[in-house]
Amino acid sequence: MNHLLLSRRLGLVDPHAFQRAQYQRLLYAVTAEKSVKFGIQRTHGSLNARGLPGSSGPREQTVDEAGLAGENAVAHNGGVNVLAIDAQTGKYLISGGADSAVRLWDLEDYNSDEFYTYPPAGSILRSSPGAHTHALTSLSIYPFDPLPSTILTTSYDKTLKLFSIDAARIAPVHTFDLVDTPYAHTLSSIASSAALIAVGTAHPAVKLLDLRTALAVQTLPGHSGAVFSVCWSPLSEHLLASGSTDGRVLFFDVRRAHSAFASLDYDDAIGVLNPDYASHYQPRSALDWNAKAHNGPVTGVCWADSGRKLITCGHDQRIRVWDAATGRNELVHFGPRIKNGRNGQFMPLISPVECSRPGKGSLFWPNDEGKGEIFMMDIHEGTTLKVLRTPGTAKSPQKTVSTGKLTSGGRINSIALRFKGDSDSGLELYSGHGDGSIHCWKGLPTEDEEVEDKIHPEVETEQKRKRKRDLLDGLVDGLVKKPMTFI
Amino acid sequence: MPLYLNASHSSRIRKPGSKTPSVKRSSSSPFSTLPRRKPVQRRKSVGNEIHVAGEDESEKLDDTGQVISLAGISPVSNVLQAIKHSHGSMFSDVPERAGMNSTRIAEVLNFRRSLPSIVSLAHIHALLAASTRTEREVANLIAAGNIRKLSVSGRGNEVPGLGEFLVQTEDLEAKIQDSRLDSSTAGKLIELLHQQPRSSTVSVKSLSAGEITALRNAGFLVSSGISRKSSVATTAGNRLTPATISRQASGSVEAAGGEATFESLGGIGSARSNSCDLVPTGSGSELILSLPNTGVYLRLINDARAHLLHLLGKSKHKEAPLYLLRERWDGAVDSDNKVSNAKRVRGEYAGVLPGRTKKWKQLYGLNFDWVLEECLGAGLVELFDTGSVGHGIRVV
Repeated sequence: MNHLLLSRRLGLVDPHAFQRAQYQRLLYAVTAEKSVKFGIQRTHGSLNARGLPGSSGPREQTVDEAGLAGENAVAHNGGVNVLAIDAQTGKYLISGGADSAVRLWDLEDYNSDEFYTYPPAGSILRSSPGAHTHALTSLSIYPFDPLPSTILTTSYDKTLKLFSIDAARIAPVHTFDLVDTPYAHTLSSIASSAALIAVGTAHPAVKLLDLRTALAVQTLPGHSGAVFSVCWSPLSEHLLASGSTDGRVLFFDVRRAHSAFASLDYDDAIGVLNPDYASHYQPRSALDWNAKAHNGPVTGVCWADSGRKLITCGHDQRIRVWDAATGRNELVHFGPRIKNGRNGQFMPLISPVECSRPGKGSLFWPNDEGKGEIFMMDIHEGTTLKVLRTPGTAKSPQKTVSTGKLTSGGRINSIALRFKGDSDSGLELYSGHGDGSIHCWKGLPTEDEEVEDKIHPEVETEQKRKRKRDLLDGLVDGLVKKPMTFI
Repeated sequence: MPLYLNASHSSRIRKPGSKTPSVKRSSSSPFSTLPRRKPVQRRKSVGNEIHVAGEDESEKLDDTGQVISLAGISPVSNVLQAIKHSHGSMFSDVPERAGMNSTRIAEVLNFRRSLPSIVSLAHIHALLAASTRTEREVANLIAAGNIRKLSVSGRGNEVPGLGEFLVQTEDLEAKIQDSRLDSSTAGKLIELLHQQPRSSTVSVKSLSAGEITALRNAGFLVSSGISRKSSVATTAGNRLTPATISRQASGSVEAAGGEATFESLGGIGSARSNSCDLVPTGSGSELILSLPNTGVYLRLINDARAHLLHLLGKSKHKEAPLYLLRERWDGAVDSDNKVSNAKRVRGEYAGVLPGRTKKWKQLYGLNFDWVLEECLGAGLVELFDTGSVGHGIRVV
């Protein structure tokens, strides 16, 4: 670190490279932060919703959240399904749960006490008119506002709703009625786009909804199974990638009449080349209906490396990296520990572009094994860089292996990265769990590591007690166990 | 009164142990009834751990925190070597004092010979470091035609590591030639394989129905209909009422060209793709390439894995040092070392003959190291380094 600082001072390292190195170190230093919790906090017998005047009725909240105690504060009853952090300021975390509630958390409202529980800055519950009635499946923040003021959510009640956030009050604005359960939705982050929301539902066709006219405008046929994941390309506002339960990943160009124009094949390591340049080789056609990206349903499709690579994951326990220009399988192997069995959108989280050199990158994979592990892996080589373990889940192998229960703390449903926020730590990762808790993982700069080494007093007494116990056990063993006799 | 009719028989003080006839003594040595002075090595049952007094098994093993991979220890450095190593080290040689009669030994050897010479991809990954590089090497070898990838479907995605297998093309062709097929069918199949060197399916348009049946019976072709898993959420059937279609103005299927748009674009609808095994094979469907006895091989691997996990499960915390697990795997056998020979000379029965252990009875003598590599590759177990007792192994 000092070496890097000196090089920057001398002008040997340019500021962008220095910043990238710093962010990368923060990313690699992410560890669990046990003192931060999210939940409803009870003070003086009634709920304290941060005293904001416009909030949606503290009385209603008391009645609904009567079962929650301050100790076991959970963010949502029944599990946190989706998380989103606004990318511009990193100030707000929005969470959607299995209890059909959507909650807003103000991340800057933090005082570094021993144990701090974030209270929700705003909520909308199932009982409010116009809210969702079933568990949420996906959530996103409209990206073009400086502070999040519109969020889009889909849920098992077969609707896509828009909510507006106004002075910490969440109010429903519009509802799109879809005929089938929506699993995923995506809105293009390119400002000149036509504000189309692509929704992947249980019906094999991808639906496009227009925000400007509030109508469903287009249907993209092509898949033959439910579409679990959709994602607009970050480079082109017309290009959409989608993955479905038939194992195919298709690319759609929404300007065309026959929108599907390319598919991915996991056997293909060469790609679709220009036939002029590849005279001796017969390249495959771009759209091949027999080709599959995974041997089983595809649960996640996302673009990486600024749109140059595509990452997909599926029920065949594989994460595959594809080159976006030619569609070839980069043959990156992430190891045998990957487990995936979700019926819905389930994707890795790609590290931000500023954290790594172009062509490199890392991703966070919340393993679907029920043990609360998040693997941090290198995209280019597939090596596991770090394993993050949720505090509170047992390290020993559990009896019920693989997917585990839906409401256990080891089941991670969603992760989100807070990157440019105004925080004393550089980088934070938030994970939403099946037991309704949201855990925080912080990547601290190294100068603060000595400060964080202070041991909590209860941990110290615990250690003393353990030492005493071990001493006594040793004494007893010495007296009780039979000595070995050699005759 | 005669001496044999008095009351002395009832109140007679007898020496202890005199009623038991000397026939019941375990050995004919005069000293055998005297009490033993050496500590007894208690063995609860065959194949269990040897409990040495003073060893405390209720604690977790030390863990230096470093997860080790076999790649540092294994002698192979590329994929072809790994395949050959796997074939060579799969079974252990039949020992001299085997406890199996000649029929059984012949059975074991014939079984070994009948297994197909395939290696699971997970096994290769366990032997070589840098799995991405391995994967690319495999792709290169397939492109060059040295090896072929066989995919096994129908077992679901719950069985880890048993989806793809590699076979060397020369072994594959030798197997085809040696089988009971007549030479013309065999020749045709080899030609078809040459035409499509990279796919795991074979298009059977050029073969007659009789030849296809012959190949299926020999075990070289398998229908691909099994691989179609039921997709989870395709319940689109309830939406096809006229009311719902007419309600949607511009987002309906009709607006996109009607129900048959997908098929007219060349796509295979779900109905047709599910029924390709109902259609007679002469109509151009694709069949999956396989080798005879692949099912037997898969069953053997499954049994071996289950047995290894069961042995690991016997320890608390589901972890054990590697030497201990190896001993459990081999069973408490009467081996050929000096101690066992000495015991045999004395007339004591030291252990169990290999033919009676699970390793030989059900698993036909699979090597411990081979099964360990399999389980590591599938991600079921993990090797770690205890600072004190060598390598340790635990269930993931």
